[in-house]
Amino acid sequence: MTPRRTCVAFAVTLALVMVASPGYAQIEANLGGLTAANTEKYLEPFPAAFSAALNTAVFKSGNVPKVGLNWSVGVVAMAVAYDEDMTTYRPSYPSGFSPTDPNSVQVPTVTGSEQAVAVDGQGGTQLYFPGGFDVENFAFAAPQLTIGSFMGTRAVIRYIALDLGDVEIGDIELIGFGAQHSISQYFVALPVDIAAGFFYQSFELGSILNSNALHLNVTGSRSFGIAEPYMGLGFDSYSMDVSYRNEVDDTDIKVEFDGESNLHFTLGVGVSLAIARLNAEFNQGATTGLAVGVGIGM
Amino acid sequence: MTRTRHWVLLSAFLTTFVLSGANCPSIPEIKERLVELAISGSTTFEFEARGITNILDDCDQVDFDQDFDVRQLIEDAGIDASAVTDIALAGVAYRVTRPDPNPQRGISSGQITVEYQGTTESLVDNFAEPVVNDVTAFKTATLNPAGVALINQILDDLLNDINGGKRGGGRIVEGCLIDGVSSPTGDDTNFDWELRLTLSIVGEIQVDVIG
Repeated sequence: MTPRRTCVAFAVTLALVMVASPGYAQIEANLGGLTAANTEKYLEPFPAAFSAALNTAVFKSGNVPKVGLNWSVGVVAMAVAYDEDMTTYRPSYPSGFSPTDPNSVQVPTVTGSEQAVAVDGQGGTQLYFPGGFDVENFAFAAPQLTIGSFMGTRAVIRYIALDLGDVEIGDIELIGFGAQHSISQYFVALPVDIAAGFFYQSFELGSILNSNALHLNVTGSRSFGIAEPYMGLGFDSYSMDVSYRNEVDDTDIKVEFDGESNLHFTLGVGVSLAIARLNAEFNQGATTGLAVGVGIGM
Repeated sequence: MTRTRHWVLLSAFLTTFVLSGANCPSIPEIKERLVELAISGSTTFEFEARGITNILDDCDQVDFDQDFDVRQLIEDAGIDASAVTDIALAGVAYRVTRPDPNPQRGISSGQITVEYQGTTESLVDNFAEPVVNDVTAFKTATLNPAGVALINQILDDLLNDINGGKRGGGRIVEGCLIDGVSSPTGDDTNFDWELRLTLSIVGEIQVDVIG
């Protein structure tokens, strides 16, 4: 992985996500041998990536009609890069294990190398730390519905529930709702359409991971024929906790991660073709992300 | 804002982004990964120190196959038995589970031994717990390499059993606390304690990930 890769266009489909997601089913197995402190470090790349992905591609225009029925339904797909500096961590050690050289060991995070690392302990003992999944990106896709307008306001809804057919992980569920309100309706002859919005999401990964995201945003856009460039400035917050059973202590553990709060910049373009609308956007939030969307509406 | 200004703004932004060195997602694709999972399991020897005024001599047996339930652990983790690459002793810890009524009670000079297929080795030398008048959290025991090596030999045999499809246990170890001096003398010992052995298991699984 080079530190400065060239950004390239991407395409990801819902089917792709459905096929690939069971890879995460093994996360719970890996957590079973980790203490709460190590679980927080092992999953450290997740909060920023999930925050950036979930808070992406919500508002794709600043044009909210004041009245009248308008709607769109489609799929938005997001991909964000995991932080390259979070592929290893220095572990802490559970009672019963005494490492011979506690300060020299680095072990993989969930996005790091697939190789487990054996730490040598006093008396010839060994404690293995699990390998990661050697992934660079988090990608996700979800259906999204927008419907309006009432007093220059429209609703935005996302929902997806996937039964992955894996007893270890259960299923994935994402539900999100919010609204966008026209600001430009209060001004005369603004050169761009401006709208302010909020969007709340709940994202669950089986019975292991629960998270909530809130996105506040102001979007400006202007139509040029079939194209509508848009720019957004917003604020993201994200909280996540992970619950699992520790196999050593035979106890249930819940780890609450530090929340993510950051500014979010969006630059994108939508293209309308008859009733279809395509969009692509770049995002800089908790981390860098790209998103594409396709939908129909009127 | 004129069209020219739009392009100037966009160019300035993109230039700033590229110069910032920020990493950007590449094209997501499904990739196969051979991931090494690490799981842990533990089992506990329970000892009752009773009615002995001075010298403790207490033994317990552990069937490494049955009591650790290694097969269930690796099955729950989704690891095929043939893909388990190593099982090792990760550590030993002890704790008092029921305190002695005598607040002065303590143990010193204890030795914990393990016996397997006729070989006996010391696992812990000079075991000491100065005060056993309260329930304690698990504490790390200092281990003797010879005893650890014997347990790792048992685990190697167990791994061969698992990889070979053999079932039914039989990897039995007798663990003993011997020669432990309980003090003060003249008052019966009356407390419970536990010795916990933790295993670390690593195995490979093939997964598809998107990234």
